[in-house]
Amino acid sequence: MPPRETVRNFLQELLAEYGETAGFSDDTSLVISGMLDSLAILRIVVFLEQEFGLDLSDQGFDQNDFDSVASIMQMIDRVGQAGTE
Amino acid sequence: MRQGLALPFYGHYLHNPTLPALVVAGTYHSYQELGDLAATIASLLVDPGNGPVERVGILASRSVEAMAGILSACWAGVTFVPLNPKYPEGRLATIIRNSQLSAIILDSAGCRALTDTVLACCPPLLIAPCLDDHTAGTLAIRGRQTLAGYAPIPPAQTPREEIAYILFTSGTTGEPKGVMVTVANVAHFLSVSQERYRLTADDRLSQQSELTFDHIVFDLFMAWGAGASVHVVPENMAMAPAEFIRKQELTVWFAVPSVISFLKGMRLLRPGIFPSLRISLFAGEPLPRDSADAWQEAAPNSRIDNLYGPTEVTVDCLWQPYRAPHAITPNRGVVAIGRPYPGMHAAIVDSGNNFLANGEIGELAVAGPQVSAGYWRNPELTARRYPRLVHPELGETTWYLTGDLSYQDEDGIFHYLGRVDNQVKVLGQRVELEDVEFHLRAVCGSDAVAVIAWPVLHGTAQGLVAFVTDSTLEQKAVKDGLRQRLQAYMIPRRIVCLEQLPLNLNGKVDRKALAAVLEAEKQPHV
Repeated sequence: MPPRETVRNFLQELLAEYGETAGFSDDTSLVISGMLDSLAILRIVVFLEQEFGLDLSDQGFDQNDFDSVASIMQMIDRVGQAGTE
Repeated sequence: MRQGLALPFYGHYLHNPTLPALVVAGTYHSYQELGDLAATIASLLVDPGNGPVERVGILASRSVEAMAGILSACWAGVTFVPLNPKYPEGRLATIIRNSQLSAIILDSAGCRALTDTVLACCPPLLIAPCLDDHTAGTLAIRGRQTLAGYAPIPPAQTPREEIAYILFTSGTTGEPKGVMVTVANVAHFLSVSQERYRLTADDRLSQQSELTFDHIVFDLFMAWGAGASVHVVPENMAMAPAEFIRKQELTVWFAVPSVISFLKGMRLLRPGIFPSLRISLFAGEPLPRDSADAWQEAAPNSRIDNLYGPTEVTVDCLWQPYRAPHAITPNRGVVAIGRPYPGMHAAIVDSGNNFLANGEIGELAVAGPQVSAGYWRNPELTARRYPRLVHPELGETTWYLTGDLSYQDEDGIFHYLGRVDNQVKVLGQRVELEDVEFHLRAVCGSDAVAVIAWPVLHGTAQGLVAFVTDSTLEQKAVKDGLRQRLQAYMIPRRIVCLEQLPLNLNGKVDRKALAAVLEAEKQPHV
């Protein structure tokens, strides 16, 4: 499955746990809008580590980076590139 | 005796005007610049043409207007009432109406919060000091006052018994209750804090919370007393401030312990990353020992103090330094809440308000010069929570009953064990479960509802879960309904539907049984 789909599916399940069953686009704000909370961000961090083997520890990122499918994909690209340098 | 909370700031304004007083979004504001703004707003507030201004609301967040607004109220010698633009309009309207404000100071977020419902409760005097006319025009603020024609005035001195601020917090009836804190209360808190931390003009302090959290009293007035600067943490970094602390080279950090576990979870807390910090203060919820250790590794040059105190006793009133030999609450893995501040007294009482001996478990009561003046327009609740008790050594004096279950060990150190009622803390914010249930009943149109804190880790609620019995309710609709009425941290993460709610022997909803329902879900399915 392409990474974007994997991320989308994970977020869809996470949102369902929070009772958010309406659809969402790649640009829908999930955290700042209040649909997901800080605990959900921690779940996303663990998911990205396990699913993509990402090491986020050296990256300067903030809550905005976890706000949408698009911003999470950008972060995956950024961390991936940093890892291959 | 008279006192003015803006006087220390004024001293630096006159003698060290170029020092930085406030940093917001990378922009430095000197004592001169911030003082001019606050002194000009103060001049508007005391203008007899605007009628007597007794209480001014500050509807703002993490902005120059927010901090200048608080300073200007102190400068003018009037009571300030912190308001949060993120509150839903119903909640905001209730607080504005109940506190009978004479004026409101707004930033752009505050202006956006002025919906028709909120505006209907607002006083005529709305002050948006930093908005240009175009922005203000498009926001269509009714009767907005400009600062044109006003010039800075020297700060006021008021009787020490005057109310410095009223802070509204969750109440069990579904309506927020206002805690009235006097100038003398604040002065005592600041003087013992400065005695301990010895801040200087070289210090750089964090400002991490919303205005509606009384940590702000420490952040602003401790900094401005010392000629130091306050650095406002942007909202998107409030829970993960690692970059911010490093880049701003903060020396003093004050936040809720949840920030530590959040940074750990985001893999952002590493040994030695905060070399600039010399003082780290945590309060608002239990400080887990693991978190304190992780923070000490990250900030090797910092002392760590665990502070304890309800809003009713002026920010914090007990403290426990985290250093060897570490005072840890047995079987809890959290740092003890320690001993009272100099001048303050703590004791344990039973349900009949009799003082108990060392080692006995009961309700923590606090007395001394930081005990506030009680609840705004609620003498009945004030009398109940602030009784006059005869203490064997102190004689008859006013105590505040904290509602916190506690005991004092043989070394005289106090330990926190939980609540005697249904108040919980979510990210350090006080939430009365009855408050959420009140609004949940209204949204569901049913009495059979309950709310519990879940999951709870080291005495800290990670969130809330609601239980309802009407299976036709849509989870999303219920949450949306609550969002209209309650702050974000009070919204249950999940709405669980049960056929009926478990009751205990007294016929009340059995919250422990509800927690057991969620606990059972976590077990692997066979």
